[in-house]
Amino acid sequence: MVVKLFDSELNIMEILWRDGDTAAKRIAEITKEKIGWSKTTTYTIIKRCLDKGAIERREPNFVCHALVTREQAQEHETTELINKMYDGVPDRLIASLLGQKRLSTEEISRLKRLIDSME
Amino acid sequence: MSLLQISISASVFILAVIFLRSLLIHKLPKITFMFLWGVALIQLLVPVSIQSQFSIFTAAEHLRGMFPVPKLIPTPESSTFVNGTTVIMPPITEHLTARIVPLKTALQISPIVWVWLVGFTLCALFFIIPHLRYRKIYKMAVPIRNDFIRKWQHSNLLWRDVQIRQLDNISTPLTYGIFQPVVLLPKNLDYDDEKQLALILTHEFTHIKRFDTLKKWILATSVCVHWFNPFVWVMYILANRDIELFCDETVIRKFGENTKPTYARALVRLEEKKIGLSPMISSFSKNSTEERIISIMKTKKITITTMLLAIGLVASVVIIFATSASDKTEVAKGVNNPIAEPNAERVPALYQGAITTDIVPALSQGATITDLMPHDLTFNKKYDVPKLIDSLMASKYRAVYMDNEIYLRVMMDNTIQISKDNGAVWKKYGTDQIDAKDFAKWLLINDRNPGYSMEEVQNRLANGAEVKHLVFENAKEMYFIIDRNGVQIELIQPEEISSVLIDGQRMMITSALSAQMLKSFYDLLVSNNILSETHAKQDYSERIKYLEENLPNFIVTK
Repeated sequence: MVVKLFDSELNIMEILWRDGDTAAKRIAEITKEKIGWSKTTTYTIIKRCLDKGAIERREPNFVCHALVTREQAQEHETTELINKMYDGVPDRLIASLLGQKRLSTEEISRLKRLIDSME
Repeated sequence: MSLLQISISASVFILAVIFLRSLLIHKLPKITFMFLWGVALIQLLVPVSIQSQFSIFTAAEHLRGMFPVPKLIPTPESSTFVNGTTVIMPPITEHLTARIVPLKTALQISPIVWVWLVGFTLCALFFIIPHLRYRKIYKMAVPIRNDFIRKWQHSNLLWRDVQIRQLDNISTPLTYGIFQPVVLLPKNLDYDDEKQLALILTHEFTHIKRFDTLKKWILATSVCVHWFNPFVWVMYILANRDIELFCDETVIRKFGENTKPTYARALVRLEEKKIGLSPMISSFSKNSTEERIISIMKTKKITITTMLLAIGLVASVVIIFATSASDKTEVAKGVNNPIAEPNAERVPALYQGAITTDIVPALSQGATITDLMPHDLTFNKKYDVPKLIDSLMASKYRAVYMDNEIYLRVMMDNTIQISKDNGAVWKKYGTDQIDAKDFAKWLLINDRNPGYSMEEVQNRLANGAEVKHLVFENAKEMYFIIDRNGVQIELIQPEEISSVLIDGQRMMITSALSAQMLKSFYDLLVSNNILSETHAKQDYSERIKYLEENLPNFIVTK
């Protein structure tokens, strides 16, 4: 089984691979110190790992258990980048409503030629 | 001034800026446009207007005066009306008038207000929901271990603590957070290209230094408030672009002009990374990237000439398009002055007479009706004389008036008493009833120099105020606008006679006044238990002093 994971999710997995089964609370402590995530953020990421089937939850105390090995986990090829459409600032959102799309290959090479010509 | 009026007058300015931008975006320093958008935002969001006689709206009024158009009844949108809404003799700072909010209570929210509220809410959600969603994702960013970035950050410390983190879900660098800014770098960036990294970080840090995220939110607010105005949306898009262009310009200045191609190529490289499934291009996006690249390549040193040109241009655009027409009260002050323009130029007599005769037969005297309205100086209830009006309302009377011939007072039950022997004997007078709608129209046309809030009066007339009319032997007339807010007296004088009044809305003095009359008016107020003697003297002497100091034509004759 191969699971595609984002960097954030891989960070959680690293803890589980290194330390073995760990309580969610403890994971949040570690990530807070090492990465600077808030508890909510860490829990959101743990939930995503659960949804992807990368880990499973064991009671009591919400202990996380890795279901995939380091070898089975694959870095996510980020094809759907979120700020293709929206940059966190509202202007991109508006632009996308107005039909802003990514530039085509031709457009890109035209822009490159433009720079050359103006240099 | 209503939101619609604000929106419309700001649109004129926005259009001017759009036009200027289309001509000169690559020629002027970008700060020029930042400033102009700032002015537009103030116009849109701060309800205060600055008057200027060079305003395009002043010019429009002059034109209107020169070419009378039949049926030219000022509509709420027209600037004449806008200026009619505020008048204002001080203590408010000169040339700065606060807009008067129409007399609407929370109880009766009109359907239009509901529509606006719904639009506003939808629009706000449209900005806030995606923002919250993406913010949640941004929080998942991880720290970057990169020596160059660490060193760079050490040598570029900012006031606020800035974090630089990495995220794999984004394709271009971005900054979020106003007070605790975070720079996010995409994972697929070339972290060995130190030159490019420095450019990117400088760009993002420039955004942070300038609080650009905050600016973008203010822009978004203006769009939410004026969601019905397409020009505001256009402004939103262009101003956001200009924030980027201004930032690019700063980065290039910092790194020197020979970085221009490197910087432009870095930008294209980032765009390149975005290429994905969709082959569609819209002209909009083409424009914005292309505009940015051209702008980068054309960045030049700011010379004194371009700077002066920019300052001059900004000043004239702001003065012409962002100010409202100079207040009519200004013109009125000059009435007794030989240099003052004849009334006819401002108000075409013929057209006035025709309409007036139709509506109020009592006024078909032949003379220009405007001449019959006294040139008064009015102190507004809301700002200038609230206490005076309050003590009037607490007394047995609703209005007190005085001129050379009569003393007049309006009783609590709205009956009118007149005394012709200086207050010794008072007699009740009968009045005739006038249709409020006709009167509203008549007033709008004839009172071109309303020394009170025209908008407020129109609102009252539209909402069931009653109008009483009294004609005196010598063609002097008085209209009494009466509703539960109190009485307001409108005077019509065949010749300018001195008079003073306070009613439920304002205090009024005509421009020629004698010290004796003023004294008698104090006595009248005191004898009717409206004010104590000290109060009366104090209150009036302050106003008179102000008028004498500030209006050259105002004299109290001995």
